[in-house]
Formats: sequence, structure tokens, C-alpha cells
Amino acid sequence: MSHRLLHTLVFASTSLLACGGQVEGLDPPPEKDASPPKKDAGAKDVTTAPETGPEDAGSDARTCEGGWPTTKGQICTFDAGIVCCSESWLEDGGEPICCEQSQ
Amino acid sequence: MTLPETDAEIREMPCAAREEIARIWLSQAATEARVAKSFALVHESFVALGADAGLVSVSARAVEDEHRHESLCRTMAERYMGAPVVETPVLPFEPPAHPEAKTDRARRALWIVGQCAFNETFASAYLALCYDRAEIPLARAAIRELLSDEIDHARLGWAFLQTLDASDRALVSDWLVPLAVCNLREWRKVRLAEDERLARHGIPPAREVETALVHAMRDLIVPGLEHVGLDVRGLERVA
Repeated sequence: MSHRLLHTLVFASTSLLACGGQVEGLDPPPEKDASPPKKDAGAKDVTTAPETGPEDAGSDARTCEGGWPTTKGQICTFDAGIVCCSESWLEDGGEPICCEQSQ
Repeated sequence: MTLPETDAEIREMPCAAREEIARIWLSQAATEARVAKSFALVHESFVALGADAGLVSVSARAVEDEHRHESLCRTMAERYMGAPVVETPVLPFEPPAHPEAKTDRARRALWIVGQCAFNETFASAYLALCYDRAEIPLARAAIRELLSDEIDHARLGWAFLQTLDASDRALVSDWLVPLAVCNLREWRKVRLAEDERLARHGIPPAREVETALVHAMRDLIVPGLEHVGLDVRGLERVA
């Protein structure tokens, strides 16, 4: 069964191209450094394997990396709690803690 | 954008329920702000690869889109709280390093495919589900705004794939299983409400999200990758 977004996302994607949908190969690569980006403070070392192993992909070490962070799913809590209908969520209520559920 | 007035139904909700939904929106504001960093890297990669000018332009706009999303999500949190909320939490940003990519050029191509064709496609499928389940006009308006942008962000990846030559397609094909496994793993970490009553506010139960992710992988991403000429063997094991 085809997904309802297949046409919108995939087939219609060439509308973004400046060339009007005529595609051709990329230019030769410019020699610009694309080494792994510096991580923000608090980020883990992604060159080490995460706690969870590959799912269904055999022993390919590349599956042990972390993926791109999702746009959803962080659950943030506030160590001093929140108060409904108050003026704010306790502006000085401490540092928020955001964590993803570990599997 | 101009959001509809806060529904009477929201104002009359118990405080605990309003707090729960507000917390979810403020949490999403944090993740949207983080994704702006992802798109900064994607944009930089399009430029470095000498990609099509349209992709360079839209990827630059995507950074701004994500900041706008953060603001929208904060507004939604405030609407549910009925009061201002604290600063958006800053989340650690940890993009894939792809240490096994053989060249910088390959790494950048993988970043674009991973973030746009995989991550934003899953995001679009997720938001489409949220929109389907939302009944509150305020929630529907906000989700529709987010979804319309996510579609363009996913298209960046799909359009990029269609510009690749045979050599680059072979390279990306070799990485499809790792990219899929790693991105799905991130999505399956997502902790969502199990409360069916939140669905009308655009927050579907976790089991429905899992179904949407599998459906997107099997019936959207895999056929899409085939359409752009990639070798999808092995992906059937992933979803």
C-alpha cells in the first residue's frame, strides 16, 4: 500500500531544484573540511558505541552510531515543578532536565 | 502565523492535563531549536557540495523555519498554561559523526540523506498522524504549520538524491541500512503519552506513532529510495 505522502515528499521533491527538475550529478567535491562537527557541551562521544546495539542489521558497526536527533520526543521536567495558572513556570525554579527515554 | 483563539475546552481542562500538554509543547520547542542546528549543518553541506541552488536556498530557510517552530511551540505551551513559560531548555546537539565515511564529501552527503530523507520524512509522517488525530482547532492550526515546513525539509533530501550520479548513488545505497537503523532507533526512544484523551489535542498514543513509523519506513521511504534509483536490499529487515 502506497503511503499518502509518497507523491508529496518524493515525486514532487524536484520542485525545490533551481534547475526546474532537471537533475544532473554533483560537481566535483570542493576540498572543504567536513570532519565530524564539534559537539556542544554535554554531548556524548559518538565515536563510541551507544548502549543499544544494532537492531536487525547484523554486525555492521555503522549501525551502532547515534542517528540524527529527532524533532520530537524529548521529555523535559522542571526540578521545582510547574504551577498551573501561575504567572510563570517558576522563573527561578532551577535548571530544566531533559532526557530521552532509554530503551 | 495567527493561531485561533484558545478554545473554551482548553480553559476548562483540569490543571494537571493543561500542564502535561504544555510540558509536551515546551519540550518540543527545545527539540525544534536543536533541529535548527541540524539544518545549519545540512545547509553548510549543500554549499560545500556545490549542490543545486534551490536546495542551498531552501536549506538556509529551514534553519529559520526551525527557530520559528520553537516560537510556535512555546506559544502553544503558553496557551495551554494560560501564562508565560520559562526559557526553552537547551538540549545537547549530537549529529552523527559517520567515522567510517571515507571522504568529507561522503560524510556530507550522508548528513543530508540522514537528516532530510530519513529524519524529516519520519517527522512528516508523525505530524500527519498528529494532525489526523487532532480535533482542537488550536492544535490543528499549529500542527498544520509545522507539517507544511517539515514536508519541504524532507523534500530537500529526496531532491538531493535525485541529483546524485551513479557513483554517489552506490555510496548512499551502501549506507541505507545503517542510516535507517540509527534514525529509527532515535524515533523509538521518543517517549509519548499513552493517554488516548490527549489525541484530540494532537498528541497521539505511542502505539499509533510506532505504526506510523513502520508504515513510513515500509511504504514511503523504501519506495522513495527505489524511485530515486538506490539499492534498497536489506532495508526490509529494518522496519
